[in-house]
Amino acid sequence: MPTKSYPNPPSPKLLEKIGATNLTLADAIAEIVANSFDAASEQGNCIVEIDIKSDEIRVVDNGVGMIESVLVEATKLGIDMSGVITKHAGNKGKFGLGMKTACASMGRWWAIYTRPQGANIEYRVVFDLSEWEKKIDSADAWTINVEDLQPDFSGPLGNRSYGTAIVVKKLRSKDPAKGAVLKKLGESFKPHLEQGDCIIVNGDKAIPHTYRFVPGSLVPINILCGPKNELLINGWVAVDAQTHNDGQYGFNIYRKRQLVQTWNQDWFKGHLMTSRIIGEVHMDFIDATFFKLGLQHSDVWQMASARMKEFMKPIVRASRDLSREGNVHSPARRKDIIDTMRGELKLNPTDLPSQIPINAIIDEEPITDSVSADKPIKLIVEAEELILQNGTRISISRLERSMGEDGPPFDYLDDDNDPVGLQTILNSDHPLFLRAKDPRHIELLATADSILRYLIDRCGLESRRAVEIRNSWLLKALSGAKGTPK
Amino acid sequence: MSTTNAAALVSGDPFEGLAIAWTSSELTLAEKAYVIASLHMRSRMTLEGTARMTGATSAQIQALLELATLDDEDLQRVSEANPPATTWFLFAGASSSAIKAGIDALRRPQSVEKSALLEVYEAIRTTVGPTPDERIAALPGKTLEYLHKKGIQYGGLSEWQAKFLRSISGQKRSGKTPTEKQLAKLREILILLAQKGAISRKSVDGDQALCNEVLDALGI
Repeated sequence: MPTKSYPNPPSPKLLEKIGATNLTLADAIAEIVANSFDAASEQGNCIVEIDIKSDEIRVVDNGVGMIESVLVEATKLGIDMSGVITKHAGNKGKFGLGMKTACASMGRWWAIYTRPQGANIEYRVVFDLSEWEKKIDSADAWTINVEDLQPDFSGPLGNRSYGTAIVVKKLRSKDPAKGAVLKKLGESFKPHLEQGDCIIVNGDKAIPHTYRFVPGSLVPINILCGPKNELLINGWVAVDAQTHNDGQYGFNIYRKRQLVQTWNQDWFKGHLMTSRIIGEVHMDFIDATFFKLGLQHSDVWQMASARMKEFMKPIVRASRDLSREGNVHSPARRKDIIDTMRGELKLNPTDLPSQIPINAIIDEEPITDSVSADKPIKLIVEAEELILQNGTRISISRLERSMGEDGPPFDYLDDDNDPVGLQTILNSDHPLFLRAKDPRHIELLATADSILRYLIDRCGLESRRAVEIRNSWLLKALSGAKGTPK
Repeated sequence: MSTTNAAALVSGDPFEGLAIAWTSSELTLAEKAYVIASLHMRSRMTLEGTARMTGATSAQIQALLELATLDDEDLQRVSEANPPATTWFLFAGASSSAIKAGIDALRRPQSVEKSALLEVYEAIRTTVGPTPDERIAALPGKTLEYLHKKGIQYGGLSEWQAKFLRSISGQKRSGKTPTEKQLAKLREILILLAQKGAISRKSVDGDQALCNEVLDALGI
């Protein structure tokens, strides 16, 4: 059967559509900055300057820039740049979608200015989606125009010898929040920033994110593996007080103190429950090109991974357990989980590592909410009165107070005023309330318990009669009526 | 003030002293709070242990422990008023001016309809002003709508939280008051946004007045 071939390019409208992603501005800028780090020059630290205005966003780096052929490939969709440029170990851009998606999600007009290292030239490519969408579907529709210019020192690249600038206009967001961008970059590029690379947003430097680890969760790693125990993996791992739904968790891997991979999650199943795991390991036995060449399938890596997976089991369990039912907010349960983890790792429950590992930022202070508003006393008057047969009026109220996790779930106090005051105190620290699906029912039962105890303890009623009165009150309280048992 | 008696109890055997202090009719409320708090600490017993030892309820002991944390002057003022036990927690959590207002309320002729507790509570509430929930409920819909957008940019909201914030901003704009349950959720989300840095006393996003408005409402 004869076969006919037809060119089958995507519609030019695709470029508009890829911009309609859910990338936040911070995410989009982080994508571009990742490319800047991928293109970092081997001479000196990478500096990325970002300028966010209400009508324009610029990201300018001092990377090696792009020669014309690289620039053309970089502007294609879906190109794996590893076939085009010499990649550094730890490169982040892989599928060639990052830059285009990021630019299109930020604005409807963008330009790339690049000045390649060692060449006295500057290239410029402009994408204007309003022009782009007018194009007719054809193989030529994706043609781009690369301008070949003399370096323009008054342009976005300034007087840099080399580097790349991305300028985005016709912004989709009308009020870009600089703070969100700084925060995101400080989190995403923490290892780079700690190694001296620099990201500046509107004149402010991005600060490497500081973790607040769960107290006692920091565990030193000192593992020998390999056939002759000749492969040393050392470093540390800890459980963060918060989960990370942005993929920035796992291990930063160093070789001879140089970062070779960020946020590796090969040694545990990565998902929200395990996203508290943060660590750093030094694996000097891996080759500098290890990750670049896909050596993760090599015997050395398999051996190291098998050992690390085994080592990580108690830590993974702890991360999961802390993420359940608000356990991380309960000091007693947190301690139990961490002590269990340390026990499984054969560490003393109270033993903290004597040496603080390189780059570990530790907060061993007890976890409290970094912001917490004073909770004023809230008084609830419940079914205002209970009138006993002897005419005693009892005014029933309820208060929520902190009486410690080990305290009673609820209790009462009373006075001898007229009407008598009977107050149920609900212990807000008690696990009963943390786990309650319907606190209203527990509150009512707690009040009913107070009534019962009051009638027996203070009024000397027989328990059977006290139970009858309690039940009668409870039924009326449940139906929202005033309680007046006969 | 029977200082000798209180001082002797504090320096004596904690287990014996606790029972004596609780049942003593000679000790003032301030002395009772001071002695029981000191002996409770020294005995290293749990709240329930101290309650058992004294014959009081755990709540009564906890209320006394909280009263003992008041400034001497405030505690003395409360003690002289000798308020009903059901008001102890209210006084223990109140400021000096609110304590004075609460005591004044107790001294006024009591209404037959209203309990002493309610009189004190209302007086304290009037002095303290609106609760955080009331302040949060008063935040304009426009503010919440802005925070919805900003929260998304800071990556601080789950899909559900973002939807909730948008829906509540619409609800506010149409003049509806959030329910107690909605307020609790809204408060949780606003605190989360503050923790994520989206609402800050040092905002770099040119929205300081709005951030302050929300943080003031939260009481942070």
